[in-house]
Amino acid sequence: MTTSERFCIVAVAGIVVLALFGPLFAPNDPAAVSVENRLAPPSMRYPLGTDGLGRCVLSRMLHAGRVTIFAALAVTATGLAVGTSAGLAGGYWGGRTDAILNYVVNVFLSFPALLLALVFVSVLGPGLHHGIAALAAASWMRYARVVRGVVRTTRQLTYVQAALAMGAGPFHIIRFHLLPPAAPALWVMAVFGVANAILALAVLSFLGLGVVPPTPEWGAMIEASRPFLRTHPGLLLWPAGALIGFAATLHWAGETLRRRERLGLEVER
Amino acid sequence: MWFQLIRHAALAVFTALGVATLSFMALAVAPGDPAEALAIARYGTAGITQQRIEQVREENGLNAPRSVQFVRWLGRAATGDLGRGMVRSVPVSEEISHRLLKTAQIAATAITLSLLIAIPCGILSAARPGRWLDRACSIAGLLGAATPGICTALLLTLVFGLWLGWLPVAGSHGASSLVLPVLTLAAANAAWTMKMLRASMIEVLEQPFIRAAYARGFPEKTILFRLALKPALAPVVNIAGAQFLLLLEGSVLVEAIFAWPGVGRLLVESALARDYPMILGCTLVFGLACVLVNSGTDVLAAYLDPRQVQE
Amino acid sequence: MALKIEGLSVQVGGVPILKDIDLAIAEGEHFAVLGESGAGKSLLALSIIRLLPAGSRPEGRILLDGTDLNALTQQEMRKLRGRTIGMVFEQPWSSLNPAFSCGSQIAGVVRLHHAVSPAAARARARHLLRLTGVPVERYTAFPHQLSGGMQQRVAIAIALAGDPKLIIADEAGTALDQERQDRIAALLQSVVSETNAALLLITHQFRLARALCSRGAVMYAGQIVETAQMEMLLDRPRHPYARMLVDAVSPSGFRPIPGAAPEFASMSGGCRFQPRCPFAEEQCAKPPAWTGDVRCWK
Repeated sequence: MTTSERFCIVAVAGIVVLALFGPLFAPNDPAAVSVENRLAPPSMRYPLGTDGLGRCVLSRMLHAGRVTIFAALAVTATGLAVGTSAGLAGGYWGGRTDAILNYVVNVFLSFPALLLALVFVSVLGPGLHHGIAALAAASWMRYARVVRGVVRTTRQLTYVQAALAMGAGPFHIIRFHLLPPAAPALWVMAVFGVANAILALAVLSFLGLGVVPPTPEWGAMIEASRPFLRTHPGLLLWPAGALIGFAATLHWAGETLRRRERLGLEVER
Repeated sequence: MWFQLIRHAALAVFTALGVATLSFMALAVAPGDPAEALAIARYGTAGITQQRIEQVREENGLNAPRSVQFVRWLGRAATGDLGRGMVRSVPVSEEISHRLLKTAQIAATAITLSLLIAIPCGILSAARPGRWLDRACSIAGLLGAATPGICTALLLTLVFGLWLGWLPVAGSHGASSLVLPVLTLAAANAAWTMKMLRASMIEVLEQPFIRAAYARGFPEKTILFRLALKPALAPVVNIAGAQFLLLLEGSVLVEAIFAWPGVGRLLVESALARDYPMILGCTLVFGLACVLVNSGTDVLAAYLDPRQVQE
Repeated sequence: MALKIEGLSVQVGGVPILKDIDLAIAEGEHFAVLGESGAGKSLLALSIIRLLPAGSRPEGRILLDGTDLNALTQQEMRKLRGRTIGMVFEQPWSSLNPAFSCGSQIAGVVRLHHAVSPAAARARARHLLRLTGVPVERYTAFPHQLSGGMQQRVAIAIALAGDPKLIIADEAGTALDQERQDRIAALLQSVVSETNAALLLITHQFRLARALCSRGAVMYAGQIVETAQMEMLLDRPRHPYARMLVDAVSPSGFRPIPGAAPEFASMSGGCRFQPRCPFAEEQCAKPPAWTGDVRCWK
């Protein structure tokens, strides 16, 4: 393991810890509105100042981190689950199941995630869980494709045929023979998936389609900073910095992992 | 070869149909009564009566089962009639084509700009890995890919629009208002393209046929910009389809932030106003565009690296 | 054209690999360099065209018609590569660009070295395909669509495209099965004779060397230990290593050479074969001098 890889692990662990335990260090209640204190400069009480409604920026940032990480993990986990199942089904059973699943994947791939979210939200109304569902619906295809490819090649190999001949059931085959070769690629894609989910959630919240106020979220904070951009750029820079920092760290980790596993480039997106 | 193209075209149309179906299905499960919404749009909240709602329902064929409605809509869509918007009673197709041009302006400029930056940087940083150009490009690429459009847009607005005052921050008045939206879109696109190309070039340059090319007397410039570039572009083009999707998403954002009157902005407004015909029309157009681009990139990728076999 | 290598030594990353190589190839001569894998044969080939890995330092002179190649700039070397010196590589697949058709790769090299029109280059490419026994319809085929033997023929055609006076064949054909190897060998023989180019064949297959070449040298651990006419070399070798090498694969039985291949990094100053030589004596601790084309004290 090279030094660079070690740094990577430390960085990722760092942001995870920061996200999970950050709220414990919040000096104030993130939802506490205090109009007389609005747009205050950094002080002992408000280390990063206050926003347009007088809420503590630092506290909101820290709480937003937890919201973001959990939501991003939810998106990735759901996408992985759905995608892996679909890919397994298509790759294992082949034939018409495969053709249908392929078609569905292609249709979804022609839908920008944002569009899907917009449609979902215009139908179901705003809310974080709707946003998560929309993003999961927009991301499962990538996993499905990779899993299908791996399963199709592995299925032909002799040792799988041998296992089948010995009476191994489909679940056994899937768990021990078909899934493991796909695991490295899935890990890499999952890391990128979390990073991209973080960014996508921010965009959704920015447009008013993700979290519902007063839940703090970096994207929403960025949107709220717009009227005060000239006079209080910090309101933009802090959440922007957090977003970029988290995403860049995860991208870096994903890239490093991909190089380590010697995977092709298609897993990055 | 022709057979392949026809097969591709047929698949593309089929997929576009699927996109349309998905959109329709999504809207079909929407809560609320579209007839009621239409009536409100026409007569105002105060002026609606049950009778009027039924009248509107009758007029628009909304009492037929959903599947019939879908087929009717599809039929009309095939002839170019996408209905009329609910918010403002203009023909959907007219509104969309009007706005499409605007979106295409920033999208095309952004793609061109990002390719102009990404391709040379990707090639040169792969040719001399570890040197200053490579380090600079890698960092720029990492940050560019990790910065969501909203941040780029607002940061650029802050620096160039507000602090320096060089560029307008909203609307579409002439060439200067094109700059910020295009830069925002191009930034993320260029970052991803450059990263992909660099990684791909590095892999290609390690291949034995590159050393053979040197042994045959080819100069480095030819090797980098032709012999290695062609196979290296293949994986990049493969994800170009996904990149285009991101570009479309980006244009939705960019149009919202910079008040650029394009299709993306139309979609957001329609979604928030629940203007169903408009939403359907926009998603159809977006979907078709994506399908076309995906097919195009498939063909292009096969040309660049003939080892790829279509399934 | 005459190639004369004098005292070539090459260090790679600080480790001396090739040491004191002396070699001469006359115009139109077919010369073989024999030895086991890892003896440095490929490095020798790369040294001649100066495509050494980064961090290598060559010393000595490589005289091609009187010009010292080691003294040329890379720019000047580039004019010679492919044009005066052509190279055929070990694995046919790996020397062909997968993104371009076979014919266009040949034509590309033709146009690189000769100022001809694209049409003339294509014609010459087709001619070379015929010469190497590739059906001309395969002009538009891509490398992955051809069999291994066909790929190697295309590679040979590319090597001939510049009209070289010296062809270096680095284990060409080793990746193929016996029958195809023989065919490629016959092909090499015919094309090289036809163009009157000199051939430097690098191989560990004695059959090929005997069939194609009139003179040869045996390499061990980065040094040439014996040079002789091919029959002399293979039937009556004088250097202990050469003798044991020929014996090792003789029809009368498989007699492997005792000991293991040496590490270049931990080479002593004396005779490099000393640790494994059954005739080693005290004087072998000193680097032996050439005595009549054999590097040995005996």
